[in-house]
Amino acid sequence: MNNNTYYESIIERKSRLSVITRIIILGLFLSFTVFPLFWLFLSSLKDRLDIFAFPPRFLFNPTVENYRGLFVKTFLEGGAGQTDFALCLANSFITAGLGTFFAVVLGVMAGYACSRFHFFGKNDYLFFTLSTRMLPPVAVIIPIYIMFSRLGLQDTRVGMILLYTMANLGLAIWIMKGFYDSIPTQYEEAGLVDGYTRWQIFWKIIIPSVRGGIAATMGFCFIFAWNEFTFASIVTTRYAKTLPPRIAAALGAAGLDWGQVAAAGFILIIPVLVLFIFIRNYLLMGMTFGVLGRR
Amino acid sequence: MARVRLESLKKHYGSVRAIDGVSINIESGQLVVLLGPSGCGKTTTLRCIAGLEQPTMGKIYFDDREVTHLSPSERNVGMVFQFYALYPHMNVYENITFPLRACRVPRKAIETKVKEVVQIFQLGGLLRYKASILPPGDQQRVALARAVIRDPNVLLLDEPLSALDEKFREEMRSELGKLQKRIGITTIYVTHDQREAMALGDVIVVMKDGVIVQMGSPEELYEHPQSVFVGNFLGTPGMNFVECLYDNGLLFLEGTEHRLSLKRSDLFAKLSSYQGKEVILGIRPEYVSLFEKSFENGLSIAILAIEPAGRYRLVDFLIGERVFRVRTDWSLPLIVGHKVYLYFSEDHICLFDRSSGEAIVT
Ligand SMILES: Nc1ncnc2c1ncn2[C@@H]1O[C@H](COP(=O)(O)OP(=O)(O)O)[C@@H](O)[C@H]1O
Ligand SMILES: [Mg+2]
Repeated sequence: MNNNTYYESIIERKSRLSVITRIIILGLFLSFTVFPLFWLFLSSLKDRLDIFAFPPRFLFNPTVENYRGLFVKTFLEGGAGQTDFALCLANSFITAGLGTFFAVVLGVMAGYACSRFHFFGKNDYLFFTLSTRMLPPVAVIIPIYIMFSRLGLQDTRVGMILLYTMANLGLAIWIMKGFYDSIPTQYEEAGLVDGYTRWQIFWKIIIPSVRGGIAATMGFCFIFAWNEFTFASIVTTRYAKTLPPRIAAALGAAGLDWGQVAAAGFILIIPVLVLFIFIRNYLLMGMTFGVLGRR
Repeated sequence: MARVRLESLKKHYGSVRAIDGVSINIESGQLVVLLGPSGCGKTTTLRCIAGLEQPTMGKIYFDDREVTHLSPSERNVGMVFQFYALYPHMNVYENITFPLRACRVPRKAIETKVKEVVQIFQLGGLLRYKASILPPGDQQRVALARAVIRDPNVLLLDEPLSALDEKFREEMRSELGKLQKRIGITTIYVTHDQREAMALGDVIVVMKDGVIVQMGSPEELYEHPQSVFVGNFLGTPGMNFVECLYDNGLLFLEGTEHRLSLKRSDLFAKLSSYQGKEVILGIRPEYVSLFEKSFENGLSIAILAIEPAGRYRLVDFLIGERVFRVRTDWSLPLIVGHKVYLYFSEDHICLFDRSSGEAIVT
């Protein structure tokens, strides 16, 4: 008993000291991570003068002009009408969304097969799918560019959806396999004995047990596809252009309109942020590839 | 509920012979225990009966219907897995009705069935809880309820008590025995714990290295082991063994100058072919009495150790190079190092062939 209180007091003293260090480290960390986001948001609400003001202003008259300017052409850009920003935004949602959807649907099934069944060349196949994710995009961009132009997929949403499905599939299979591996086969056997077919067991027992894994996989895949820049900037030019290359292009076009760039950047961040908040616990489970994850 | 018959069942994994010719006949409503050390093929046998493994050879019958090649879902068996395998995302009610929902039982019938098993397994207050948060004892009752709710042909239990702690295990054991009798369901119970087997089994099937070494009632196995292995495996502690030389009604205990003279005439007949040969004498710890005074046929041996065990004491001796254990009550004052006289109850002596370990007389 005495010893315990003694140790506890040491721990307490230590923790009081460490609280201060923790605050300092955390403060540094936040200034690198959250502050830029905050600054981005402020800048998107500033007019030209406020943006270039020095010292930087935290208090100013906010304006939504930058956001409006993203969607509606300004005088400088050649008068009235809409810009292609809305189109790019829609493209981003559609290609990232459907690319994620197909990758997850396929990954959920293929991951199960890889976890539970033995088939010829399984390990080679698993390694191959992961290696597609390890290659730098630049290495495969030329063959893909040639394939896409021959097949008429150049600058189409279908092409981009295919591309993102392919790029995410390996990751989806691996994460899902990790989750399935952590489920003892006894559950399936119990289901068999209880009178169900393998397919029914997959839907009624296995899928509900890996909901977290599916959410994590969706998060990873969507964020990758949503942020993807290299493929999009080479393969799309106009009709299927997504936000990342669009914003990059805006940087060079009509001078440097930092306000609009900040607004576009902030719009780009919102879905990722929202997604993160909803599935952050599952994302952590996904990081450990389900090995440590609770079901 | 059905009779279950296994006909020279074999299951080989490559060169591993998990089970190698197992034949058992189980009457309807019986509780049969498959007993044996780890790795002897108990689980494999059970999984073959459930249909989770396809036997390499042999046949399985429920009543007179052959089920060897049916899928698990066509066999209507109930199974409790070692760690229960309750579906973690379902509550207790959903878990126990899961087998019924597989075969489209009408709602009304489901409710009646649920009421029945809830009453039997005392699950009253638990139905709405997630199965995964229940303590092991409750989980086990839920697993049992799920296994029997469909009135299966046979109930299969694979070491159902091994996840519980010692104290609780005994409680659940007797509970389980009573429930089985009450429901009257044909049951196959797998365990490596001979005490469980002795307490529960109508019939015990002792297995080793994929084959049955002996089967029979607990009493039969205990009193008349057909091999050194069974004698040693059953009982706490197991049977004592002493190597002896047989000569004309006399047993010379090897490594000592002691000898026993046999009186039972039936022993002489059976031992006639062992004249001048070595045999193994086996006797259970409780069939040896200790005396302070010399006695005919008494062996005077020094006490090696004394271990109190509740109402009894276990007294260790050294005969030859083997420890020999005797169970005795507290009436005699015993001191480690002092000599006492051991008297073997001749009715309970077993004799085994030295080379094969098979019984000559039990
Ligand atoms: N799927 C399998 N593949 C290869 N060998 C197995 C397999 N299942 C069981 N075995 C082997 O078969 C033998 C019997 O196993 P098991 O039936 O689980 O024994 P028990 O339940 O009596 O402990 C063991 O030697 C085990 O290693
Ligand atoms: Mg086993």
